[in-house]
Amino acid sequence: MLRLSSLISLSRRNYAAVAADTFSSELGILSKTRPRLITSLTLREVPPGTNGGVTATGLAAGLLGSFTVALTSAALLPFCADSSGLRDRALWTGAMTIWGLVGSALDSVLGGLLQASVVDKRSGKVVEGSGGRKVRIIFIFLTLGQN
Amino acid sequence: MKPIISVPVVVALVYRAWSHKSLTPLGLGVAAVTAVVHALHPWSTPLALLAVFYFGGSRVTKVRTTYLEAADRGLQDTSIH
Repeated sequence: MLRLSSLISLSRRNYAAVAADTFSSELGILSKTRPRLITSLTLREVPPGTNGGVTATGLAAGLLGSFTVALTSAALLPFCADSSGLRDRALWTGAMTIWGLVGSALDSVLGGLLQASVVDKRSGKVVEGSGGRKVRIIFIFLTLGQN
Repeated sequence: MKPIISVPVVVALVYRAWSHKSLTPLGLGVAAVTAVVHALHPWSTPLALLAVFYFGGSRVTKVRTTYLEAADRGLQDTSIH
C-alpha cells in the first residue's frame, strides 16, 4: 500500500479535514433547510449557525472541500513504486475525500458537545462575538417603581 | 522545496493576503511563518496544500458574503415597515 512519512500523512489529512470544515461552514450557512444537531439523538432542528448544526448542503460542501485537497495531494505526492497507478491514486483520492468529511463532522460533534451557542431571543438568530468570541451575556434587572 | 520556486510562492501568498486585507497583522505574521515552514519540506505537497486551502477557503468565503449581502439587500428593498 501507500507508505508516506507520517508528517506528510498528518499534513494532508489535516488539510482535507480543515478544507472540508471551511467549505461546509461557509457554504452550509446558505442552505435553504434548517440545520439539525449532529449530537442530538433525534437530530432536532436548530437555528442556522448553531455549533454542531449540519445540513445536507453543508456536508456536500465539505466533500467538495476535502476533494480539492485530496486531488491536489494525489496529483503531487510521489508514491511508492508498487502503487503509483491512476487507479490507486483515484481510490486514494476518494478515501481521503471521505476522511476529510469525517474530520469535519467530528468538529461538528465536538462543537455540539462543548460549545455553547448563544441565541438572540428576539430574532432567533445565533450570535457570536467578532472573531468567534463568545458574546457577553448581561443580565438586565428591571427596577420597579423608582424613576 | 527548492527556494527558487518556494520563495516567490510564499511571497505571492503573503502579498495576496496582505493586499486583500483578509488577515489581521498578527494573523499575517503567523501565516507567513506557516507558509515558510510548509516550504521547508523537500516535496511540493505541503505548500501546495496550503495554497489550495487558502484560495479555496477565500473563494467560498467570498461566495457566502456575496450571497448573504444580496439576500440582505433583497429583504431591505422589498420589506414594507
